[in-house]
Formats: sequence, C-alpha cells, structure tokens
Amino acid sequence: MRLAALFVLTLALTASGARLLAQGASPAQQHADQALQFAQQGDLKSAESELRKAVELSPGDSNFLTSLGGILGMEGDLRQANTYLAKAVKLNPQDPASRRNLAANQWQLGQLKEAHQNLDLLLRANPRDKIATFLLGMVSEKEKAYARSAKLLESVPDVLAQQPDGWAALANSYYHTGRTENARAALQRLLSPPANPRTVFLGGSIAMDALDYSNAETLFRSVRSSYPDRAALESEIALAEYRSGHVAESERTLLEAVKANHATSSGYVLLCRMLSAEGSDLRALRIAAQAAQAFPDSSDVLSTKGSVELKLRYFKDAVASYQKAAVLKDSAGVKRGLATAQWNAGLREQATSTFEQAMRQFPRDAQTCQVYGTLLLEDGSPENKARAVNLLKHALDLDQSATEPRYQLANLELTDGNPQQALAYLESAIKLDPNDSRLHFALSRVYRRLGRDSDAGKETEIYQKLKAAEQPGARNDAAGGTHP
Amino acid sequence: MRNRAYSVCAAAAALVGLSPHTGVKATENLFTDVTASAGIHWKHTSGESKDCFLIEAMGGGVALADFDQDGWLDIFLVTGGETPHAKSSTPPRNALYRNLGNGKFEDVAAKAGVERLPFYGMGVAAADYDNDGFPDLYITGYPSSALYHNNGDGTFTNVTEKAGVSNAGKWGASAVWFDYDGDGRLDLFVANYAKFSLDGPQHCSYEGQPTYCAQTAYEGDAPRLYHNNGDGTFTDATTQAGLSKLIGRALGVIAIDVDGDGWPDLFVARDASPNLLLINKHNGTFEDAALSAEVALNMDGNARAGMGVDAGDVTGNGWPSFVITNFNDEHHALFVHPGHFPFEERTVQSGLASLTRSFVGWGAHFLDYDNDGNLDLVIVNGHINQVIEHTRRDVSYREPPLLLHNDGRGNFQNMAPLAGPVFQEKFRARGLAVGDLDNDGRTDIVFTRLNDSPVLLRNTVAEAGAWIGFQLEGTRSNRDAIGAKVAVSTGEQKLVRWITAGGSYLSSHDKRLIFGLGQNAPEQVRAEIHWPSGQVQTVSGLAIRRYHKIVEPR
Repeated sequence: MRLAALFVLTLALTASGARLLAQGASPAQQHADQALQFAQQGDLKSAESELRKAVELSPGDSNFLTSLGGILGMEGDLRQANTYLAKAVKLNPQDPASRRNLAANQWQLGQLKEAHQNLDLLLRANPRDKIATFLLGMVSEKEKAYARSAKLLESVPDVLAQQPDGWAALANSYYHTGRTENARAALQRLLSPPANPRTVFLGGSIAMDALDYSNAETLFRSVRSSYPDRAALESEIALAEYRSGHVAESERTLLEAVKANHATSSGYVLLCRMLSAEGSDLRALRIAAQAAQAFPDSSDVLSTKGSVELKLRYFKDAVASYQKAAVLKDSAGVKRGLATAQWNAGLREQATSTFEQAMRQFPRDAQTCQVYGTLLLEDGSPENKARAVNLLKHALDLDQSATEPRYQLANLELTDGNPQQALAYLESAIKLDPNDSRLHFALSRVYRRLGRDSDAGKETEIYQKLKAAEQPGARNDAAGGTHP
Repeated sequence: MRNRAYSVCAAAAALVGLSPHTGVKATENLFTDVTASAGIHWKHTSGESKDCFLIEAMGGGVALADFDQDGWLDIFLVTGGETPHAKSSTPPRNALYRNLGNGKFEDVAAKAGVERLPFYGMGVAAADYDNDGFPDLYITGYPSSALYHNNGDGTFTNVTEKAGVSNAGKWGASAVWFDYDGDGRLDLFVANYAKFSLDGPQHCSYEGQPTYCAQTAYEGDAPRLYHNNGDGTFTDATTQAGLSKLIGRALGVIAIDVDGDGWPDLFVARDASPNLLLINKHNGTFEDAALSAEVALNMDGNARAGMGVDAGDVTGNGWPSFVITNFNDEHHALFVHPGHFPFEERTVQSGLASLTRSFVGWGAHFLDYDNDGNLDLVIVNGHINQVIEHTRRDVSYREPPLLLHNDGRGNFQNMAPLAGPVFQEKFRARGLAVGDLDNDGRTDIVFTRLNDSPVLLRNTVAEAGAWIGFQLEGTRSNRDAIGAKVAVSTGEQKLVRWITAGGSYLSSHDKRLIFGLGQNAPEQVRAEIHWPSGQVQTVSGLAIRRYHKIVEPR
C-alpha cells in the first residue's frame, strides 16, 4: 500500500477523538477502542471486525465510518473503503480526514476527476493542507498535468520524505517538463536514505521511460539484493544496460539471469535479439530454444525464435515457430514472419495465402505489404513484378513515412527506364531519412540517367561519406560469418 | 578428332526428350567427365593447415594453350604450396599436360621445367609475350610471381628476374596479358589480392570452430602493370598508369574494349572492395569508371565479394556484358552493356540471382556450349568456410558447378538435369578454363579443385549447332591478337566475339574463337575482324564447321 501511513494517521486521529468521548463509553465506542488496539498490533482483520460492529451500533457516526474506511483501505479493499468514506463525508462534509482518505483512494483507483474535486475542496478550505497538496500533486501527475504536479509536489518536501513514491512522481513530472537534472535529483532521493525497493524500481522504470538509461540502471542495481521479483529486475537492468550502449554488460546480465533461472520472457527475447544482432546466431538460437521451453505460451518468445531461425535460414524450423506463435497471439508481425519463412522454405502457395490473410486481417499494416512486395521481386517475373508494385504502392499509402517502399519502387522505375518517376520516390525518401546511404546511391544513379552528372557526383559523394561512416574497420570475422 | 556419331539409347532419349527451352536434343549428357580416361591424375596442393591461412583456400589456376604448337590444346595446372604446418611428403608440383590428340594427356611439366615454383602458386596467364609463336606462362603467387619463356622446344626458361616481373612481396591472383599502349607487344597486369604473411596466421572461428578469416581481416593491395619493352624486359608502369592508388582485394581480371574505342580496357573483380572498370585513356593511363558505369557495387551500394569475371555479348547487341562471381547471398552478378554507360544490372531479371544465391563462385566463362549462337555460362563454386553447414542448411561447403543456358536475351536456365553427373556433384572448385581440346568445334571445360585433381569435361552435346572457328595471328598487332573483335554475319544474325585475355578466375583460355551458328546456318559466312592495331579486315565465303587461321595483313 503506497499510502498506508496516511490511514494509520487517520485512525489515530479518529481514535483520539473517540477517546475524548470514552467517558460515556458507549458500546460502539468500546468496539472502536478495541479496533484501535488491534490496528496498532497490526491485526487489521480484527480491527475491521470491531469497527464494523461499531458502525452497526452507531451508523450515523462519521468517525467510525472514516476509521472503517481507513482500515479497509489499509487492507487494499479500496472500493469498499470508499463506500464508508463517502458516507462519512456525507455525514460530516467539514471533516478533512475522511475527504482526504476518500481522495487518496479515488486517486489510487484511477478516479482522478473525483479525487481532484475532493482535493480542491480540501485546499479551498485549508490551502496549507500538506497532505491534500501532496495528493493533488500525485493526481496531477496521473492527469499528465506535469507542470502543476511538479509545483505541488516540490512544495511539500516533508510529506515526500514520508511518501517516497512522491519523489518518483515528482521525477516523472520533471522529466516531462524538460527538467532532467531536477528529475535525477528527485530520483537520487530514493537512494539515500534507501526507499522501499518497489519504489526504487518504480523510479528506475520512470527513468527508463524518460530514456535516462544510466540513471535507471543505477536505481535498478541498488535494489538487486532486495527487490522481490528478481527476474523482472534483471530484465530491466539488462534493458537499461543495452539501451545505454553497454551491450556486452547487458548480454552478461541476461546470460547470468538465464543461468540462475531468473530470466523473464522479455529478457530472453532481448538476449536473443542482441546475440543475433552481433552475428552469434547459433547462440541466439540456443537461447531462443531454452526460452521456448521456459515460456512455451509466449508468442513473443516463439516469434523471436522464428526470427533467429529465419536469419539462419532454417526456414522450416522458422515456419514451425511462427505457426506456434500465431496460435498463441496473432499479430501482423507474427503473420509476416510466418509468411516470409514459408516463402523462403519454398512453400510459396502457403506463403502467398498467409500474406493475403495477413493483409485482410491487418489491413493497415504497411510492413506486410512492403515485405510481400519485396519478396515478389525476387524472381524477376513480370506477373510478380506487377503485383509487387501494387503492394509497395499500397504500403506507401498506408505509411507515408516509410522509406523502404519508396526505395524499392524507385529501383523498379530505374530498371524500367523511368528515372523521373524514380527521382520523385527518392527525393521524398531522402527527406524522410537523409542518412540512408542506399538512397543517395540510388539517387546518383537516377541523376546519371537524367544527364545531371554534377548532381550525380554530389550524391555519390554523400553516399561515400555515409558509407564510410557505416563501414567497420578490418575485422577478424570468420569467412561467411558476417554475410547476410 | 573424336568420333561424333553417338549411339543413342532409345529409352534414355525418350526419357530425357527434347529440352523445350533450349532446342537441344539431349540424348546424352551435355558434358562428360573424361578426367580419368584422359590420364589426368595430378592433384593440387593447398597446404591446408590448422593455421587457416586464407591463401590455402584460394587456388589454383589452369591455362589452356597449345604450348608445343602441334595443333592440340595442352593444359597447365598451378599448384599451391606448403604452409608452415602443412609440409608435403613430396614437393608440391605443377602439371603441364601435353595433349596427345587421342583423348589422352601426358604430364611433361618436369621435362618442360615448369614443375616447381619458388613460391606459393596461385594463377596463370598464358600468352605469347615476345611474339615468337609459342605461348609463355606467367604464374602468380605469394610472395612473388614468375615468367616462364617458352623456348619452342618443349622447355621453358624462368626469365622473371631478367624481365623484371617478379611482383615481389605481393600476393598475386589473376593476371592478364594485353597490349594497353597499342605497340604490338603484350603488357602484363597483375591483380594483387591482399597484404599477407605466412609468418603470422590470423585466427578466426565460426561458432567455436576454427576457420578462415573473412577477407576484411586482410588489407587490400594495389595492382601492378608491367609495360613490355620489347627486348625481353618490362617496366613497372603502375604509378605512371594511375593504378597505384587503387588499393583493394583484386582477384579476377579481364581485358576487353568496353567503350568501343578500339583500346583494351580492364574489368577487375574485387573481394569486398568495389570492382574496377579501368578505361584506357590512350596515353598510357587508365581511369576507373566503375562507379559511374554502375559496375562497382550492387544496387544497394555495397561492394560484393567479387572473385571471377568474364565478358561477352550475352544479349546479341554487339557490346560486352560482364558476369562476376560473388559470395553466397550476394548472387553472381550480371551487368548488361546497353551500348552506353551506365551498365544495367540484370542479376535478378536474368535468373542469376535465384540460381546462384547459395553459392560462393570462382571461375566463370561465357561459352556457347550448344553452338546455338547464344553465349551460355559456366560457373564453378565452392565455399571457403569448412563449417558453414553448421549454421546454414541452404549453403554447403562443397558446391556444384553451374551450366546455364542463355535464351539469347540474357536470361539463364540451369541445365543441371541434362548437363551430366558432374553438375550434380559438389566440389571445392576454383579455377576454370574453356577451350576446344579435341578440335571438334565444341567447347570443353577444365576446372580445378582445391587440394584435389582437376576435372576435364568433354563437350558431348549431341546435336549442337553449326560452328565456325578462328585462329587469329597478329602481325602489326600482338601475335595472339588479344583484343581483337570479330563479327560474323550469317545473313540473319551478326555475332560479335572478342579475343580476351584473363576472364574467369586465376585462369587462361583457348584463344581461338568459336562462333555457334545454330541449326539453320548457311554453308558460308562473312567475318569482319577488328585487329588491335586498328585495321579492319573483312573475309567472305568462309566455310562453316572448321577453324580458319587468319593472319593480320601487314
């Protein structure tokens, strides 16, 4: 429970209020006193039971209702808690405790509008209500009103000291308002003194979302020995390492996680992708096979295995993996992978059928059209070429930001002796991706055919510069190991 | 001459039937492996070792030339050599197989004095550099190369030092003889591969298994151009010709007039370096036009692993197109000459892409195996990574050769089902040379295998078309007439062929030209000869189905 302390505070206040009345010692009050004792001992169930008796005996007493709502909230039953808290507020609209707790629960239940209204009322009544200020800051963060959230949360540092989740929310608001250094400072507060591991993990996740990978890595690493879900943690550490460019470390983290049986399915998937990207395809396949055993119901794992098999040109195996993945979770990506594997395995009819099915099922998926179109160009037959052109054009209609269909269509126009049409495709593609060396190389070919030799020369120079930047130096790869 | 009257098994003929695409009645295999019956037993030595020196995987070459001028084409085969941890029990040796004219060959390398090399051997270029009527041998290798002068008496003399063509310190691959300055004497271009040393092996592994490093582990080198001074010596003209800055991993080379100006140009296939198209500027220099001619790279702007190269008029338009053999997944490339620059890459459209996707190609040559008038294509393949099959199920270490039939428009069809058992088998093939070994007007094939014997394939196409052959002898031009262009008119058709030098990989071909004339050829044809000297000679009334020796008018 993120806001357990608030409720304990409320119960204490309620109880002390009740104690003032204890001279009369009504039976309801006696149950409330008993509840207080149970709550202090941590026996929430008994406390709840005692308070229910008190409410039953004295249903119009807002204090008992507030206390019962508080205990239910501490037990995690926010909806039931809110029933009692709402009654309490109705009976005593001026009581800030019950309204505060109601707002806190509403925030946690995602009832942001209601929470916001209650907190506005509290702050109108008492602008110095720090808890209400804090809660409105948290609600504002959820509402993506990051500037207001940051302003509210940074105004109550003493509450944040009690509620470290607030630092995480404040950091998120800072990130979203471009105040990265402030965000990092806020997250630093989770480390010293060390906050609850779950809160630190939350902070790490916020840093990840903000692409602040090294900070995320620091936060995740700090709870390595205490965070209960080790698999999720290791997966996040590896992802942070990977995204901050520490590929070798990331790979090591994941390999150790795999070895210690601490890998999540997403961790396995990331590891496979890393190994495959660096050309260690057989290792990637071994890991993928292990992942498929550990997570036989994960479509992501199976489609990743399929993609590694596809790269290794184990086409029939890839077909089998993608087929299983498609049964578990059909997606455009899985269908596309399956069709590509079928195509390369020589199952052209099946591949065609899968592609056609994918295009019916996911009519807005541009990539499927593009991949299908590109494959159809392989054999150079006029029929397939005509279909390929239609598919590539359709892919472009679906995704105007795509460069690949433009590139393919430009090459086709060039081959067909239509440099002017090729020019149009390439010029727009280069606007979208000026650093793709292929586009400049193709454009130089177009200019040459248009007799624009000077422009061709310029494009060749750009191509050469971009290509030089892409080229690795002398490498000790094995022959055949790095070829596509 | 071989007996061409084949006894046809009726059942086999019915089974194989008429090939619908080629028009060739295939009653027997198109090619027959006659290696053993010809008495060819020599084996190449690569020095294959645990050190995995890349050079072990790259050789060797083969040359077809009539060394003793007895009218029959002989075969010279280059061995590799030893490496520090792979010593042979007997010294590695080359072979010079003298063609006895009866289908048999006799190894006379020792007697001829070309048996042993003082370096690790790679390729060979055969031509008559001193115009004395006998073909000489330039043998490339590491760390030097050698020129053997043919004495005309069955022996050769190593004249490397005197000639000044040792290519010292270099790893020479293919070499080509051509007359780049039009002085009537053959000059020499050597494609150097990479900076290399047998002292320090580079270590690479593939999925945990030691294997050869990729080419990118080796820095490329510049080619070398030797100008023939005409007195038995040569001058290194590399820098003067503007070639010294062309650093890259060169492997294959062919000399041919690409731009139709009558001067020989060079196409150099390079491995993970852009190919070169060296245009002869008529002043002793060359300009690389590969990028603007669009033959340097693939369509994505990437350099492929160019190994072998050949040129020929595959579309019937009178211009030379190029084939370049590459690595698996890169496709062996076809650049069609449209009559002007740039070239058109028709790798996919020609069918070559799908036919060659799984192969690592080496030697390649355009030949009209069925004499139908269209230049077909033979390619030999073989991977260099011994453990490639651990990861690739569609690529094998040993690979089959390809015989591809041309429909006349530059579209190719795999003839493997008809070509003969060799085209269904898998080899570690490298060098490839073609020529008419039995003088029957049908082109035969020889290819080399790493660490193994060569394969001699006799052309046994049963109903090949008519043909006419030419042996040209230059007088003002170089005696071999390298660089000559011959156009044969049959009435309907005009066929254009060139006497090229180089072509394929590490190898040297029969310099006679055979024109396939198809099934409906007239009894006489007319030929127009463009001599390297610039003279144009027209000869009419030439009878078909025979060779004609034509001497350049003085």
